[in-house]
Amino acid sequence: MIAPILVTSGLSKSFQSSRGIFRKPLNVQAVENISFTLGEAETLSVVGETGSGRTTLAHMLAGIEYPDEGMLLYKGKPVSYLRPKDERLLQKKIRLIFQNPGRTLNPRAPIYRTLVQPLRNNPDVPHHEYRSRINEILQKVGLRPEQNHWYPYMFSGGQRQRIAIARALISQPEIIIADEPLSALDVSVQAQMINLLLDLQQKDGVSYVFISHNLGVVQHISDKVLVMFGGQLIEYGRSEDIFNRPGHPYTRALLASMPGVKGYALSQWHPKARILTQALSHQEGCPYANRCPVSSSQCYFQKPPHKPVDQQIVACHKAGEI
Amino acid sequence: MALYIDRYGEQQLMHPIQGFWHLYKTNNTAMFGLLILSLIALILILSPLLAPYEANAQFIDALLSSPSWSENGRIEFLFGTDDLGRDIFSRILIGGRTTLSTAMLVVFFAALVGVLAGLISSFIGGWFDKITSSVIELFMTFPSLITSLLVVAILGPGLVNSAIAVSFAMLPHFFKSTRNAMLTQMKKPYYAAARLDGARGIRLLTITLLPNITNAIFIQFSLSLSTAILEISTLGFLGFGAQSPLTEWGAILGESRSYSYQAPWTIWLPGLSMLVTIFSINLVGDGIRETFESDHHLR
Amino acid sequence: MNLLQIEDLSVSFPSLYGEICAVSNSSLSLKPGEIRGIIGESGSGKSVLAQALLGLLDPSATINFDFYSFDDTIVTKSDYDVIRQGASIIFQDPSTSLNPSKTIGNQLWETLYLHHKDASRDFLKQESLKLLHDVGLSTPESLLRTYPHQFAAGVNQRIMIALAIACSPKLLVADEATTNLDMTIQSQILDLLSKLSREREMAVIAITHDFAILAETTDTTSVMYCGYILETGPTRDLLTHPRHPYTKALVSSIPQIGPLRKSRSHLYALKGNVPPAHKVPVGCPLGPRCPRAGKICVQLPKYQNEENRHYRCHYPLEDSLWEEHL
Repeated sequence: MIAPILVTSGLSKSFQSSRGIFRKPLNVQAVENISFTLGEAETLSVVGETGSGRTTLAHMLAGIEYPDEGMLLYKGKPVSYLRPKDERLLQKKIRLIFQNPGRTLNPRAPIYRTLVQPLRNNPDVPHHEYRSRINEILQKVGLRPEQNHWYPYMFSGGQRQRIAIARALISQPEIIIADEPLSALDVSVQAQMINLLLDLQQKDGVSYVFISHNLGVVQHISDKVLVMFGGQLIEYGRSEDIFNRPGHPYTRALLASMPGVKGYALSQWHPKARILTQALSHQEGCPYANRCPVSSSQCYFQKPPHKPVDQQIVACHKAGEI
Repeated sequence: MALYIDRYGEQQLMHPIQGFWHLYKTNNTAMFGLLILSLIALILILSPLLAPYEANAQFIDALLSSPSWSENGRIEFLFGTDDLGRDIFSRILIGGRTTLSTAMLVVFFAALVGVLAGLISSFIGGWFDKITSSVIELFMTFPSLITSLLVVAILGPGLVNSAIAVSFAMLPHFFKSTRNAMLTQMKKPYYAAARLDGARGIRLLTITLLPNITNAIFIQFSLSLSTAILEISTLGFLGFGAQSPLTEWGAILGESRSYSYQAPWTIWLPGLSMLVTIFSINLVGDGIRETFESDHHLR
Repeated sequence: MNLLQIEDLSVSFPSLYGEICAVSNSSLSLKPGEIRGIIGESGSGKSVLAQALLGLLDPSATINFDFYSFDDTIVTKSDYDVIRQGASIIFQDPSTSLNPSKTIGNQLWETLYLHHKDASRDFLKQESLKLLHDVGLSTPESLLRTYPHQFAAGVNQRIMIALAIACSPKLLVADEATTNLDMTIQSQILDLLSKLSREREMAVIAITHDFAILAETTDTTSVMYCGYILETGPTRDLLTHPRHPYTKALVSSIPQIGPLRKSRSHLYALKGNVPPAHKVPVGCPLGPRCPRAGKICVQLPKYQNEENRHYRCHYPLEDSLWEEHL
């Protein structure tokens, strides 16, 4: 058993969306009751469609947004992002790679200036080591040290992605949260990047929280998978278990809808019949109820519990029966 | 950008400043404007050497003499003389020096204060920003000429006072364009990423944000320069600006307006020189703006 | 008999770097009812190729071809009417292709009216209901009065398809038509496209960068790289026995999903990046990145034909070699 480095329990976050001065703001539940455990050098993938709350979850883990409810345990100790000391520690140890990393580089600064910022924040690194550290990290991600005075636009998309990874790695983090880091890349570059991420994990023992909609990539790199829909946990478990024996109707539909899937007998879950695309907006029942082929009235009015089924956790009233 | 140079045996994109010049060069009208402008600048810088006479030297024997190319013209007075017998060519050269250098100083001062205020206000944000920008927007509702007339009315006429007045009227524009640019940049993902990296305060402002709003400041600067020339001349024309013996383009026009029928050259020659100057500044300004906009690396 | 045949198509654009070639010496032929996938990474010229076929390119583009026929009619450079009447195109983002200020019914009627100038109102309405039904929208009556913003992207893309098939085209070009959609929606749209193609004997050119889409939907596939069509063949054959090293690299660089996959292994990745359009290498465009390249690769290889397969490579992969690589 590997000691868990990050444990969350019941993370929730809602947003107030303003509807003008005269009406009460609308409460939108972005993420509700997400619990998972991330071990050292492990990869957890969060799978979900647009609007499933996966980006909000990533932002909560990275400390951009604060959870309304729930606990975040880092190495067994509860952390609160509201305490500046914790915030600084976590900014060093938990790093976020954004969804379109190219745009997170300052277009008017040579990458050296971007890469030096996390070091400045770290009092343990003396000034004269900055340059050597940066050169070292650039080599690690496959760029040349003398490129440190280049501006971001001088690099190709794949190289910019490498810079974003370098930027995350330079403060020697323990957890990297990657929000769709590959979606903007061409397939041949994407493969290079997956190899790089896997290499870094082997060498430095970094843990990843990997947010993606590409199930092929998810299956390739992850130890654990967390499926989200409409802000809720749908299924959570070891990667093999979820891909071999998906327990939730949504997970099955997801796997069945992956084009080019061979060897799954999941065609009856293929989302053909119902075209309604939005998750149910009211927060009473299961968010998938109106698309689910086996939903009953219970699913619309009662929130499904997180049931352990086989090796994974499934949030479905009918878990285990179907 | 067609901005390739060979280095390390491979091709590399140019530094932003190099790249800017490279693209600017391809814009013919802007290059023409730059050529004219630098010619004017050169002439005005060297004007004490080039001007044949003192600006206020009077030639009693040649009152209202025509330009040298007309029938009654005299070769020693190239652009003719005014009602007091002063050589217009010398006055244009020496007066232009006053006008242009004052305009430069005015814009520089307005930019310094306006940009600084805009940076601080938008960076602090919240109520402070709301109040500051509302107050400054209130100023902008007055036409800038009215504002400067008001300031001159309080401080009294004179070149220095009119310069203060014009820069005061120009300041809100700098504030506003800086603030707008800042607000745009602060929404961009790189700003959030820099903050996550732990960048705070003055570093975040100067290293992360400032280089990204220089475009907006440069464009505003070039726009304001021509406005400043016009406004200083306007105040001079109305008699609130430079007082004699100081010469200034607007003042030259103002002094000779009563002779516009007998001696049209006293009006149209200084006017023409002003027109050419402003025209070339605008060409350069447009060129700068177009260059920034034509390439997404520079935008 | 081919529905569409084009020989030696080249498209170039003027740019700051000089003339850049977006599509070079590419030939394409399409049978009626065939679903053809065109796959390539960004900048491979796949979209330009499709737009050149329909004559939709900017006038600044230089288009050259030796021969172009569509539906037994010769298409000339000055006259794209034949193909414009017989083909339609759907784009990546339905929300920008639909007019936001007009109801869906109005947009359908306008399109239908262009093809049935003397039809009655009732006829147009019946036709549009039928179209919406055909693209799998269950309550077409109420849809006619609604605006595009009222629907999710998946529904809007169906409406786009309805508009595209309104004139009963013989060819439908889908330019990354499912790229922006969620995966469950994506598979619905792909199913719809192949269903429509079967029912209406409509050929489809599906432009994509996603191999999974190809495997599921298409009959034949062309692989593009830097403006060249490197390999063409029946999809299944091409994916399982690629001849061109680039096809092989693409296939094996994608982590395939399946119940018994070995994970966490290194993926096969070509070295380097896709060169930008002004830096396409001389000769075989893959040359500098290709693991099999030799001296002869500085010359552009000719097409080699083999039953249904065409490929451009000096050192094509043999079947046996491919097994070894696995």
